[in-house]
Amino acid sequence: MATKQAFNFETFNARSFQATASAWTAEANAGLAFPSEIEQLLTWTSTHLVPKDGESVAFGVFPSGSKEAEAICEVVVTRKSVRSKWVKLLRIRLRPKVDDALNSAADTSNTGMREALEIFVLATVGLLQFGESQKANTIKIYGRTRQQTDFLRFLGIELEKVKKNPMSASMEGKFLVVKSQEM
Amino acid sequence: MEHKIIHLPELKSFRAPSEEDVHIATLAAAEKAGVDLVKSFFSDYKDSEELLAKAA
Repeated sequence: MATKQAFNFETFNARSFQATASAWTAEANAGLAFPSEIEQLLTWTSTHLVPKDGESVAFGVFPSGSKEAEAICEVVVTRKSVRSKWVKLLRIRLRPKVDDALNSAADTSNTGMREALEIFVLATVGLLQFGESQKANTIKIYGRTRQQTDFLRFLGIELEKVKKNPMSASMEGKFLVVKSQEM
Repeated sequence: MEHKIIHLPELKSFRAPSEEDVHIATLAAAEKAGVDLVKSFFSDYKDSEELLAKAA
């Protein structure tokens, strides 16, 4: 019997967007993030709810049964040719309370970092499964800065070590590129 | 005029690894990267709107 996933990586609907916007705004207003920054992100999200080929769309990482996203991800599906389709993750933004915990000086046990990494794992798994459902042949994760590409390089090395590996992973410029091994 | 249909071999679509495999790989990567790099990884996605258009 298939086990039910403990999270959902999916686009927003009106209800989940409203729930997320309310929660994130309240957390920002409580001092856990810059309200203007969250407002800007939510405005972007509200205008990228519907998937369109070649254009960015907002995905949320939702705990099962919750309408409040733990992270907002920018994803774009591009068709490079008739035979080639790419799914790219351009950014992942953590909800204010998670981001605040991650950067808290009081987080000596790295609880905040562990929570952030768990959300990143769910976003990555969701992205890879979305790529499979889209019949994409290439999945890419973007790193804007050198620190981000350094982390993605470490991730690529570890993904290459997966037993019975269905994929290859390597850095191409600022992207971690994951492809099916059978290509 | 008769049109010929050319069938190109399909590229293999992507097959996702298991959640457990991604979990193990991510935690191993984070351990090697260190706390500061992991924190930067998340923080650096802020205020990046202008560059994302190029990456898309």
